[in-house]
Amino acid sequence: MSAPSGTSCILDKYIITLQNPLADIEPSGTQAVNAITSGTAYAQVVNPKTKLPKPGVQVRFSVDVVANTGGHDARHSAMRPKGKLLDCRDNTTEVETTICITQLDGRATVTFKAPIVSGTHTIIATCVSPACTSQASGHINVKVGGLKTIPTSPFYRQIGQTDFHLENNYLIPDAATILWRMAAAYHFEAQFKRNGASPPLLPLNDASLTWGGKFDIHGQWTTQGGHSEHRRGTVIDIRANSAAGAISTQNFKKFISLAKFFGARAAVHLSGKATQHFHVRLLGRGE
Amino acid sequence: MPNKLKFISLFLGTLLLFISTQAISALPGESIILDPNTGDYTLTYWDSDGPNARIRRAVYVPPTKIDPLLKSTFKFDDDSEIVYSYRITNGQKSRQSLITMLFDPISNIVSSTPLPTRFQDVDLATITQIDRAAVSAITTPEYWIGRSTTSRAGGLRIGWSYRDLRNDTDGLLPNETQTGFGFSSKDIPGIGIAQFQGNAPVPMYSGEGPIGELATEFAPIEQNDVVTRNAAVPTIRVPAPFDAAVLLDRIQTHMHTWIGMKLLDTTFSAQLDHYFQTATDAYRNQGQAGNGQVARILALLERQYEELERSDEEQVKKKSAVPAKIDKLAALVLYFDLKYVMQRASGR
Repeated sequence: MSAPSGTSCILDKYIITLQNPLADIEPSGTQAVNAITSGTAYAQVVNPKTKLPKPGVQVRFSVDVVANTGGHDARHSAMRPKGKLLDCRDNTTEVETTICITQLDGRATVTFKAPIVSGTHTIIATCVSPACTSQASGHINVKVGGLKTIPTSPFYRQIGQTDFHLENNYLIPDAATILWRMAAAYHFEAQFKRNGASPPLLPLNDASLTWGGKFDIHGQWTTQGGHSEHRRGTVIDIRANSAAGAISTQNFKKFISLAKFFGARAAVHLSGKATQHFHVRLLGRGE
Repeated sequence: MPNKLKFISLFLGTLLLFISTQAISALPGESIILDPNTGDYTLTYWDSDGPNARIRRAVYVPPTKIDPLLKSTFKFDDDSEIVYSYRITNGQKSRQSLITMLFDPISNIVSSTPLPTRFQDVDLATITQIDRAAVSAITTPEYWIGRSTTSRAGGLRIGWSYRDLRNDTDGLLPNETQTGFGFSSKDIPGIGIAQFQGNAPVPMYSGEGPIGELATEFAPIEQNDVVTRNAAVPTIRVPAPFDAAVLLDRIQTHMHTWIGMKLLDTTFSAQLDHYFQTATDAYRNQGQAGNGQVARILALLERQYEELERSDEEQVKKKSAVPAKIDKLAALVLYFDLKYVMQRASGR
């Protein structure tokens, strides 16, 4: 057998390993300036017997996305977007596969950049060397952490459609708390009552998907089609059209004032259309 | 108006319009234009509605066309709690009715149920009853709605909104005054910020409103949607059991925030600090003897203003033609807080 440097005429066989699971990162495209939307992964090539690292080995990295993850179901049309890798030659160009070379510690490192859509990605590392032909893979979750289902409440009801998504009602806990207290005030305050009766329960529509990220209403993966801010569990739509139970026009200003008190910000979207609604930034900012 | 002045005014208006158009432009055709005469913003943006994407336009009217005057009053009641009350006047220069006043944060108020002052302490199973108890603890004038919630900054957010908001003139009209806002607290006053809003049209977008770069550019305009004034609000928690040195330390720490608010001259602050230090040391080592040092701070304040003991902004007068080294409301608050320390240290 030869030394790990591989100088003998009998080739050593090396194995490749990859960190698994990799740390979660956030989807790109949000307005959150501190969101971490890229991460590094390294594959390590070692001699299985001596455990010594093998430098100078070419490792091909590629990336794929796991179907039906991140809150998106199988009925979406078109090809699902997936994250990109930075080309190891310049660490700048975004590519789908790249070849990196192991260093003295036997590690080849690649940078993964998240797409706008949440979901589980698989990073595959393959040795490109006669001495090492094995493959390793690791998962990386592109997700907004900490999202939870909106708690059930006696002050609102959830009406959202989920044609292409498993669930549409995820918020971060602080946003859910604000929503709850705002809805309770809407229910109890005299200004919203009619003939002494409380208004109908607030009709909640889309918030964020299970893992946040782009909420592609029409299941087309694209940035188009609205919901540009429903990505980090801080925004929700509340019905404000002519449908039964919607916030009535005469209460629009009062509702904006109510939202403002709770630190939220409400504006009417799709004004004049059948789907008119209040777009409520529960923490006062769009994300 | 003389022609030359007219020309300058027109030139400046056009320049501002030009700058607004040029500075804020994300996608081709998108813009945010400020009308310098009305203070309104016209947003032109691409709606993101898939293949139907097209240019939309919306007008954003900031709810800040008001000039509020706020008077804070604070005094002890029979239960040794401090009663805070407020009077608002919507100044005559206002172009909107005033519809909202809120304080955020204030340390705490007296309520039949303890109020959560941290978000992590909010339990949804009980919070509705707690919030309703808090609303009952707030003094609210007729035609207004009082509210309380947890501040995201820690502490409470207390506010009032005008109840009937159907018309553009609903609310406190320019030149009108409204009294009767208030609450009680066991905490002594500091200087906080009151936020006010005027009655502006409902922001309505035919699509989703601006997104992307334009949304980023518009965000600070949208965020800057309140007019602020200083107010005396519950800020400093009194230690239980009472400890004069600890309380004095808290008062001094709060006082230092006034320098950044331009309410306190730095050299005057340093002068006060000297007596704060000797008073704190005296309270720690000789008990009630600290009162003598606190009295020296009071004397320094009395050199700036007359009638501080009346605890009423309108009765307090500046002593000389020289600019005061401390803001009037700040002096009033500090005077009140220090008197409180002396009384409690004396066992009263």
